[in-house]
Order: sequence, then structure tokens, then C-alpha cells
Amino acid sequence: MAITQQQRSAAAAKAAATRRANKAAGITNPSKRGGPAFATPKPTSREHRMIVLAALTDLLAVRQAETGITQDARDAYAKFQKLLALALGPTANAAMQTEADSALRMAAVTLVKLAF
Amino acid sequence: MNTNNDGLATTATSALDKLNKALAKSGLDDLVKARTQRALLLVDCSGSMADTIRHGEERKIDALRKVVSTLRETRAFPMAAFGVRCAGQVEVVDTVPEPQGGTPLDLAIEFATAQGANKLVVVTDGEPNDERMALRAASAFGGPIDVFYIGDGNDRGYRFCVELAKQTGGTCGLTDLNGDKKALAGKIQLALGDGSEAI
Repeated sequence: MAITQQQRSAAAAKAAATRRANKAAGITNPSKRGGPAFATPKPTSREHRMIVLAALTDLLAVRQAETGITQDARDAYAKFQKLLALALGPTANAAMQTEADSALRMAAVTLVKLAF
Repeated sequence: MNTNNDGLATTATSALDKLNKALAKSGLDDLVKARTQRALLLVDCSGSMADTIRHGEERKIDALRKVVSTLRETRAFPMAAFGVRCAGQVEVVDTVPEPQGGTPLDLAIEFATAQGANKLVVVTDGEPNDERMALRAASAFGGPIDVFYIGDGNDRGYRFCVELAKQTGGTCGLTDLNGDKKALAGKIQLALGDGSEAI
């Protein structure tokens, strides 16, 4: 379908109005926004693991307060602390990082068993 | 737990901080205490608090206000006043009100129980309206009650406070409010706990 003269005039008027608005707003090249595309850094699995683990310690504290602390729970928590220390400690190479990741997994499993 | 991306970085930092604190605990008992403690300060605003401090010109209530003000400089904590003129004679307050009523300690402990507190720090200068009811309320409360008794420690009021603390597994301290206000504030702060980990 061919564009009529009236439609062509309307489109031209609209484009001119947009150019005037951009100029008034100080936008010289509207196709470039600049800056980062996302306001926040890309989420990492490590951050989420820490959040979940911290929430699990909260759950554990509340559960133990409700049910009473047993010696088995104390022992399991001591084991969790050792694993967590290993998981959060500094890592100098890939092998140590793998060990820390493994400790983190085991710490999480220990905590889930304790808290649920 | 905040899973929204906007707060993720902050949440992850506080989560790591929480885990490091869990690591620093001596054991599970410590963790449970730090995360679940809900301490409430109960201040006595009975008529006798309008009396002046022994060997001093300041009113007890004014000295107590200074202590509370020093405490609040370091951290916010919930506080309730008992012996005040309101419906239940106990209410949550931001500042220590003027002294006016009796010493309904039993009502104050029941109020704290209803509020969900599990640790109490009481600052009082006298015998409660009903000792038996107060001890019964303390027993139902279930948590420790630390008492700071204002007086010379040679009276019935003090002996009751010692019994109350002993019954609940708390401690009883003695103060004349005449000494170093900061030192007393520090002791009360210690009894309240730092509260930084409470869920």
C-alpha cells in the first residue's frame, strides 16, 4: 500500500519534533546511551551460596532454640565450623580452590541435616 | 533473604559477615544465644523513683535517664516502663517517663512475655506490689532476668531481687545511681547483649 502525501508529512513532523526534544534535553546522538547496560554486577553462584548458608545458620539457631540443643547437634556444629573455616579460608591455587569448594558443599549438607 | 539483584551485593556481604561471626562462635550454644536473644530493658517508674539519690541532690529518675541516654548512644534497644499511668501500667517507651505509680513488676514481666522477649534486664528501686505474683510471672517467662537494684542492698527489696534473679538464672547487681553513669550503662549493655546478630 502506497504512503499518501498526508502520512509522509505527519511522519516528517513527528521526526522533527523528536529532534527538537532531543536537542532540548541535550541529547546529541540518541542512539548512544553510554555507561554500563546493567545497574548491578552479574550475580555469582558464590554470592548466592553465602546467602543460602547464612540463612541456614539462622534457621539452625531458631530450630535449636525451639527444640533444645543436644550433644549430637553440638558435635555436628563443630564439624560444620571446621568445614566452613576451610571453605572461607584463602586459596592460593586451583587445587586449594577445589578443596574449598568441596568443603563448602559438605558444610552446606551438614547444616541442612542439622537444621531440617 | 533478599534475592533481588539490586541488593545482592549488600546481602552477600552481610551473609559473609554472618558466616564469619558463626565461625567465631565457641559453639552451637553461643550461636543460638546470639541469634535468638530478644532482650528487653524494664525500667521502674514508680513514685519512689522521684526521691533523691542517697547522699545526692539528683532524683533517681533523672540519674536513670542519664544512664539510659548513655546506653542509647551506643545502640538502640527496646525499653518498657512499668508503674506508669496507662491502661496496663506498662508500656514501651523511648525515653524514661516521669515516676508516678506503684511497682507492678508482675505485670511488667507478663508484658515482656507477651512481647516475645526471652531475656529481661530490670532496673528497680523497690519491692514489687506483689512478690508472689512477680515470682510466678518470672517462672512463666522462662528466660533469665538480670536485676539492677537501686539502693544500699540492706533491705527487703534487694533480697527479693536477688531471689528473682536466682530463680531465673539471672544476676542481681547493686547500684546507688550516684557513681559513674557510664560504668553502670556499660554493665546494663553487657546484660542486654550487643544484639547485632539477632534475627
